[in-house]
Amino acid sequence: MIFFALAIFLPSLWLFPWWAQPLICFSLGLGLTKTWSLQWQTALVAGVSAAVLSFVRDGQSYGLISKRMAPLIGLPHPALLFVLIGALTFVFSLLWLRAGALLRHRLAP
Amino acid sequence: MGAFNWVWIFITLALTFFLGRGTASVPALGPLLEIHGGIWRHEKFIPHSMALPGLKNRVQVAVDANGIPHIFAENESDLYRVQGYVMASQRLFQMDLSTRVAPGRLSEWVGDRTRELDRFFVRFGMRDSIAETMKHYQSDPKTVEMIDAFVDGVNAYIDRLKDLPPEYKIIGQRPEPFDRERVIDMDKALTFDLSSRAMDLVLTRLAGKMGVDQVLDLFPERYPVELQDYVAPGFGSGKERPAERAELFEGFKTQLKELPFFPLQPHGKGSNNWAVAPRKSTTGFSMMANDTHLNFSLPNIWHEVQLVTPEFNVYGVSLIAIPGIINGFNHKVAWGPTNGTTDALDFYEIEFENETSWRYRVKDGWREAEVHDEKIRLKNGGADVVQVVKTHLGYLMHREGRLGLVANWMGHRADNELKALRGLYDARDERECLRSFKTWAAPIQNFICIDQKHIAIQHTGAIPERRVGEGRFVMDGRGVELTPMDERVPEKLQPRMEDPPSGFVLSANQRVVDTRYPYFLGWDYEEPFRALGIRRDLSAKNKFSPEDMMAIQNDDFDVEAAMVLPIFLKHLDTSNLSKEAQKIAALLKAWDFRARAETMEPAVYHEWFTQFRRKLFADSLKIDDVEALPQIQRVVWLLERLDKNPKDSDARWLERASPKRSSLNDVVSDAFAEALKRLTENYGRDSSRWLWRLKNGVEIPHVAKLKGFGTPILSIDGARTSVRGVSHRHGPVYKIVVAMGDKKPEAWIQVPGGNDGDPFSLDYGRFIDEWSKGEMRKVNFYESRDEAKAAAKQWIEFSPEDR
Repeated sequence: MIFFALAIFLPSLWLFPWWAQPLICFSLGLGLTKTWSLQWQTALVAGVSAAVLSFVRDGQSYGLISKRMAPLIGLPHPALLFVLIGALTFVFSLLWLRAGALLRHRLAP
Repeated sequence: MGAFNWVWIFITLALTFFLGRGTASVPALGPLLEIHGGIWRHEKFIPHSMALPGLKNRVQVAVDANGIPHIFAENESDLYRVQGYVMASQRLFQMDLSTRVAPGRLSEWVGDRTRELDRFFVRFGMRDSIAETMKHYQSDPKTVEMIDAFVDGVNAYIDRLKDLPPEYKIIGQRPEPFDRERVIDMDKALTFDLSSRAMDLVLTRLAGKMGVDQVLDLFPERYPVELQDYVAPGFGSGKERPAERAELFEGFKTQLKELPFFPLQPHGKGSNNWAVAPRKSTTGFSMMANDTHLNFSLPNIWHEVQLVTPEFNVYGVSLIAIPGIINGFNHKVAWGPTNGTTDALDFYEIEFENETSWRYRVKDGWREAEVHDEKIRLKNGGADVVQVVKTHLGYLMHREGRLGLVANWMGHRADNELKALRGLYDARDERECLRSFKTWAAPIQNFICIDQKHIAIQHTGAIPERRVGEGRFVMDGRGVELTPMDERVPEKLQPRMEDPPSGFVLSANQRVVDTRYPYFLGWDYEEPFRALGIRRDLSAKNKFSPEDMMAIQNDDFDVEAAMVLPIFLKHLDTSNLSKEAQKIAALLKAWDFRARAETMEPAVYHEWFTQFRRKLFADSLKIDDVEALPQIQRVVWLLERLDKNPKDSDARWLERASPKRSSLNDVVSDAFAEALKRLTENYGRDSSRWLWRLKNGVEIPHVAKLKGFGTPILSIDGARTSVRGVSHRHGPVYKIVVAMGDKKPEAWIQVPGGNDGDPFSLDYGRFIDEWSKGEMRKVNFYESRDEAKAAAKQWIEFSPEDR
């Protein structure tokens, strides 16, 4: 499941706008991630993917994005921006994975 | 579904909504932080070749190793079109933001925080003024062509923009197409910044409390020779002009109970320029130095560029959102301004026919004011409506029943400044350079022009012909028939100096003419210290090299401290000082008056002077704004007088400020103790840590003041009162030295912050370190495309779209 989630999230985060994330997570919750444990793992993969990809993007700009954005949003260190993005993506993904799973449960006979 | 699940779904939807929309204070984090297109992605510059709509011929741009574009075009229209495109590609957000100030359009983006500022500018008549100036510009087809081509270039960039500059993403806005007015908007914003300092309201309030004669004493028009400097000393030499006297103002006292808030531009916004004649130059040709002191910002307000057509080849800096070059040089001449500082803003009390009427009293009856409403759009979609009231004396800023206060500003009366600047590009000598300024009205500037053999300085612009004392206080508008400031000083009496016997000309926003000049120009000029410093430096040697000129630009000798500190130390009562305080006093005694960033002496001296000035005037005159206090030179004069004669009439100011401890020794000693206390509170007990760097606090903020997008406090030598005039948020944002030559000039330049305004590019903070250290870089002034191409880091070809 981890590799599957990586194969989904790495390209989707890179290629699609932010609102594609809830659609993907909702679909995954609806069809694939049946247990809490799987939902957590999938959300974690999404969070880590987002943190890694933002780190890569930042590297392409010589680390200047995190350096400037961190103070702007009140973070004491640039590296915390990746942590924030990872955490935000994790929570957001988990919420929508769970929402998908809830709907499946509701629809189940 | 259980309650937990409903809560879960609610939280999911709420977070999604929050990420997508944000709140009033938090931007929409979803689109902002997304990997795909958020702040992580920002498109760079322009491809190597591209078609540009409207071009007539091919245009080439060589970007050199310093990131400076050199634009080669076959005609002017193509040149400005590509300049617009290139500038927008590097500075779009800054152009968009800065051109919203004058027309009162900041609230569309910012919301409530800028609402009052927008209302102020609209009420002040800025929108009318922009439209009026546009009419002037439109009467000259070449100016229209210049503006239109530039604006088309900017819009071509906006049309092709795939990814917004990061600031737009952060504030959640999008650029809108530019129009001709945007060029004027920027012009007006800078003109207001440079020519709207007026103490009239402050002095009127003070005169109401203490009398006109006392105000004239504290804010004098004239100073002793050693405390004064002039741009054009001796010009128009005739009879001694009558001085201001209290009796001149006895006829009228305003009946207005409240005087409105009017932003008081701080002192220190100014510039330096000087030139040396060939006989004072080691090169055998004229040389010029210029540094413009404006508000610090990242990106810099200037955009460095070389513009080349078959008709001209000119290098320098353009102002963002304005086509062409403002300051710079061509093969034959170089030019550079400082702010003229001559009074350009007056206030009149007017009387309406009744409490609701817009008819106001004039000499022979009543006249109808022009009244119309203007809308200010707000961020939340709403709108403010501002009533704009125009009289022949200016715009209404305040009304109390039948009485009103109008502001009459010279900046509303523009001519065609772009045409004046365009004339400089192909000027062949210093005279042609000066003649180009015939259509320059505002802001009034001290322009230096040099060619290979000649140097000149001219107080340039529409200089109002004033009565002595006119513009000191709020004036009576009831009997004023003609529009004030429409009468100008005749051209032949426009202050200037050409090839003076001294071999140099200089200006640093100081007084322009001495008392033998026939007209009164105003009294509130910049402090004379920078000018005195430059004069001292230029008088110290017989010949100057370009390196000497750069060294003068970096001169951190604090002229004010050198005048004041010996008197302070002489009157400091050391008998009650602690050991630490005595040590500090001893260090000050040994100080060489150099305002070095990593030393403590300048910090102690300036805090001491601040406390002395505050003790003397702030409390007793009830003035909170330090910019409205009597000038530093007045305090220096007071010190010199009381030092020589303790019973001088100035002793009354000490008594008024501190009745119980009113000797000079008392006030000086108390100010010293207070200064040490303040420094301890701010920087700790260890006096070796009271660094000038920290006290002066030079930092360069982002143009929209985004936290993290500016610099930390920089270590830079100099003070507001040294030639290297740096202070917290003002200083030399552009420095150049031009040495004219036999075939072509050589130039050295420094512009802190690179040309590329993308905060996530390496170029954004470029040259700040070099600038802080006082280093200059050699300008690449190319003669031809081939020369530029051979040295280019990037070569871009623009071609007409239909080919």
